[in-house]
Amino acid sequence: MNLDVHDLTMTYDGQDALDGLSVSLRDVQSLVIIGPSGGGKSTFLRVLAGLETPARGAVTFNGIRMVFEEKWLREYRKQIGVVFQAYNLFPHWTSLQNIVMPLVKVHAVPHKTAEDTALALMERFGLAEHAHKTPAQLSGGQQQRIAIARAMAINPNLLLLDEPTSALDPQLTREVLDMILELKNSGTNLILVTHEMAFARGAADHVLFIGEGKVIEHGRSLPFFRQPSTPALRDFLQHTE
Amino acid sequence: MSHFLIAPPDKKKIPAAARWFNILLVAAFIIAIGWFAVARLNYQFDWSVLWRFRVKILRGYGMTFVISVTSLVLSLLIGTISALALESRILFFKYLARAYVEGIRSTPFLVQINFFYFIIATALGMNNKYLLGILILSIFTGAYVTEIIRGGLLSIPESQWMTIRSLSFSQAQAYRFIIFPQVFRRILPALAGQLSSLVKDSSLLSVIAVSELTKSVLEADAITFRTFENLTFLAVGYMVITIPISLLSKYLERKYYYES
Repeated sequence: MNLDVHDLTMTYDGQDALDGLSVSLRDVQSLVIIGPSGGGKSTFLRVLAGLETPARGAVTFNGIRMVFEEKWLREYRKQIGVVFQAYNLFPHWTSLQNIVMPLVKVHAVPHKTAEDTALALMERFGLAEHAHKTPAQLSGGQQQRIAIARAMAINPNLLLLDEPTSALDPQLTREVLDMILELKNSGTNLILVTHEMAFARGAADHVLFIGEGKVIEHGRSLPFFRQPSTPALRDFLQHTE
Repeated sequence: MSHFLIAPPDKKKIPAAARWFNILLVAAFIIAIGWFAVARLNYQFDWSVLWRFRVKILRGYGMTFVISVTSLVLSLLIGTISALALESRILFFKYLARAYVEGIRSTPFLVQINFFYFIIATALGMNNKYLLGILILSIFTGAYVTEIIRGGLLSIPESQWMTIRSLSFSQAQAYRFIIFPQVFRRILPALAGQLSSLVKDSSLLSVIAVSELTKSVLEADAITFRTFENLTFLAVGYMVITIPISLLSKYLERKYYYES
């Protein structure tokens, strides 16, 4: 993917969430965003997801400039898969329904086809036995994997993951990260906000370090972690590892 | 012995034997009190008066039934629309719904009936008092239903709306497939209580001479003076409608149960 962000600015209750964030990326397949809490990572991701309207600035994704109007954004969101920290499955639906309903109702896929797609995805990620369980009957890791399958079912141009493992214990984190890694290896374009530095190292082509609403440093994964050039990043990496 | 009298800890299931034993105990207790009170009165019951006025009373009962069922449907409709109006971003609708709810909830039903019947209906030239009765009752109950539904809508976490938007569900689809099914399940107990009240509140329509159950029985009473028999019949008559509502609600609660 190619991503150009220029002067992105957004204010929440008088506080700057994004403060003139700019970055230009070419041919990145998996982008990982790291940075301190409250630094603007999640807000940036939500802007990319078409869920927030910035006060100022421009975003161009694969040559298409985002138009921050609800009508345009609604169409745009149909091609973007989003995974949230708290899984956000609908509790009154089974896992299968959670994946099938957006396909049927939003993407006008015939019910049978949608169900085949959903079951194939669940099969692929070892979730088939949970198809007819409701979210409350699943572990956090299983719920998050279903949520990722839901996001992937629409065959998105881009998969956005907002701290998908920070509500999980280490073992469950593992199974979710394995799934993300498999998606990365099979060529899915993804942007991941995470605190899992070891995973970021392994899975990222490119890493952004965001703090105080700006991109403080960014680069290819290897040099980024090996030779951080800003004191802020050096300090951050020291305290998270 | 104590497991016959005390429920097991941690909300475990009460054993069937203990449940029935205590239900019978409560029934016996209530009957004993009733029996004692009646015995002290030294009153000779004469149920035949009800039979004498059976046609009139049954007609009234039928009317109460029709009014209740129609108002029940109508008040749910009004409540849903007005709850959506309260959540609407169109301010006129939002404040209109708020004024409606507050206006109804802060004034006595009896005043509303008279006000509606003698002033508004006369001004509009409406004179079918049965239709008016149904409308008044639905508007009255609708205000309470509005608040129950609004409470249900508020109980849906903001994160679900975020997810709904990220999946590109339309507003209408969101309410129909995601929000209302969850809201319905959550508000059922409160809703059943409100609808039972509606059935009983229909008795107040007797003040505008709608010949429903209460009015019919009281008219019979004015001739026969068998007040105990008549009031007992009245109480049982309303129970026959309200208890099924309560049972239906419990059934639906189980049917739409999901852990959350």
